[in-house]
Amino acid sequence: MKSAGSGARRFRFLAAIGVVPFLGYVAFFLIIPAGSVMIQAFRDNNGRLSLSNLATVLSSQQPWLHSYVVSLELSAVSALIAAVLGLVGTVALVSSSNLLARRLVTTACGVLANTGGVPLAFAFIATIGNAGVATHVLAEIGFNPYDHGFSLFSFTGLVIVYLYFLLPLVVLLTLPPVEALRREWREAAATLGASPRSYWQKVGLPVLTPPLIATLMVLFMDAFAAYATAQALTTGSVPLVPIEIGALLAGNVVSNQANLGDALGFGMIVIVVAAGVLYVLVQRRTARWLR
Amino acid sequence: MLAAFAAVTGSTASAASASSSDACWATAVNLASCGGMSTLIAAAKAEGTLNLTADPDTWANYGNIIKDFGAKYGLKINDFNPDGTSAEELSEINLDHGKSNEPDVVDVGPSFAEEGVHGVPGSFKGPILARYETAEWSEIPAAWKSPVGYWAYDYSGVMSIGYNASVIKTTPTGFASLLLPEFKNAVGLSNSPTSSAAGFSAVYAAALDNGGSLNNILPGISYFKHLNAVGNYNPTEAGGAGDAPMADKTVLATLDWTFNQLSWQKELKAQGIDWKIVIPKGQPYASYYAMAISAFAPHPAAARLFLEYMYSPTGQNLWMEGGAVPATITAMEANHTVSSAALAAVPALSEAPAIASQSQSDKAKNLVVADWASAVG
Repeated sequence: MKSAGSGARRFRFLAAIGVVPFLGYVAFFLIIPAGSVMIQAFRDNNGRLSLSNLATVLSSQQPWLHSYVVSLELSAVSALIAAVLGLVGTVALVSSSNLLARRLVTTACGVLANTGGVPLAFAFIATIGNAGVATHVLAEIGFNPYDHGFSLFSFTGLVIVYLYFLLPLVVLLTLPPVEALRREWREAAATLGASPRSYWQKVGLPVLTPPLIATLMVLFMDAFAAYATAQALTTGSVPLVPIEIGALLAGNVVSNQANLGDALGFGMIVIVVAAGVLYVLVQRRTARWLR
Repeated sequence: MLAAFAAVTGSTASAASASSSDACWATAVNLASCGGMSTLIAAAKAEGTLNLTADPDTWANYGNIIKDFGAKYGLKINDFNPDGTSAEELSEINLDHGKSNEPDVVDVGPSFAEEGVHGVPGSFKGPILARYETAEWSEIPAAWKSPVGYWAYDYSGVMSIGYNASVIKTTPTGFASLLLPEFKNAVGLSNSPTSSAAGFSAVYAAALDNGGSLNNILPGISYFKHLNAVGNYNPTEAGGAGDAPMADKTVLATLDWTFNQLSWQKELKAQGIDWKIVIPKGQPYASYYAMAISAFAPHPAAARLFLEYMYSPTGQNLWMEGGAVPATITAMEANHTVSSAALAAVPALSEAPAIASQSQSDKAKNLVVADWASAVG
């Protein structure tokens, strides 16, 4: 009895040591920088404690509040579209009996969900930029999207580019809950006379709602924090918070405004933490269904 | 008499002990401080290395400058962050103490040079730059240098239009030309004016052309608002990340420094694109960068030797051959030390360029930061 207890304790101790590198990594690259951002956000340019940066961020005379609105809109719209289209894709994938196709798609999704940055921006410029290949083909057949109000270098353009890495993420995130929908439930519903439509309305979607909300939160946070792609495409003409922070912290024009950049970063941390808390709460509920 | 005395003691000290000469150069404020040019060269050679930062090969001829300077004095030249910004250069001085990539010399926007002198309360204490006056110090106009020797303007770009003459058949003459339908979706900046000095200067230059002045940048913001409204402004990074947007014809014209246009011209020629450069009609607009030595330079002698070289006619001509206008240009013209290659590289200007003072440009920056996104959004 005693020996078993100390064995378990030793195992726990070893496990704790195993976690140390991870904790160190998180401390150095997440907690300490985030802490520094939060401290600097509350200091004025003379180093004194102050709410002046936050007041500037929230002032209606300044452009910053508007950039939060645009950032939130872009992240929400991209996340919603990705979730709807992605869920349809996942359901189709799970219903498919072709195992090879399923494996290929999930592997591809794993890769594509992690594509981003400047290369992605250039790939889209080369395809549907104003001088892109697809744009050229469309113009040849008499429909140049740029003559009809479309531009890659706009809010709409960014939504399209973001979908490129958000959609595969939805498939990866919704695959486990959709697979957990048991065939017996559908059969039972059908036996009792439910149409496919009412099955989804009364059984499928309610069961999927918690994991879907969790997925939405992940998508939202992913889109909200994206920087390099949007910077390469729009350089702030679609005013997103990360781009504004970049200009304040690491630009060639504005000097002496780093604390304001930190205050903008603090606002992003608050929003991401809120989304994260919602994610954890919903995720707990989801876990029940996936057991 | 005192100066002669200082020079004598300086040279005695360096002659007495070669190893202490490097320590002497770490605080030297001019050549005479530690025994003159030959001792400086010897000390720099003993250091063997110079660390630059944010000086890309394609920017203002730095590629050739680094090659020539390194070969002339047998030094290894590093640039660990060629695409860095002014803000990053100051951060490197502050954060990279004792690391192998700590910079010796920085080349920054003037407001950042002043920040390096005075520090940023709550962030870092100034000065983080070293005082040093090169042999040609007196040839730099008084308004273009730190009164106590922390920094001096080094070279300027002149705002110019570069355009793809393989596609665009009518030569643009000024800002109004870029509003024409043939530039649909295709007029770019290297980056947002809130982030790039060239972008900011394009707005300033547009202001001068549209009824504004160095004290009033608003007409420049209105110009870009109009450019965006007619569908010609393309916000992609045209030049910030290289010439790719120009090479694939996403961008057919850019507003940028003469020296960047010249370097794109060379690169695009290889891809069959005839990139032409025009100074917009009216008063030209120019803006200088400032060079300074880090107070903590790991190679203090090499750093000072690099500044001596850059402010001598050799270095000034090399910047000019890259399309930049050097700080001692007036003196060089008087002394007939401008090389013919340098004269050929910089387009002739119709009149002296407008150059904003720091207070003028600080005021303009605040307006651009406040209004830019809503103007082109």
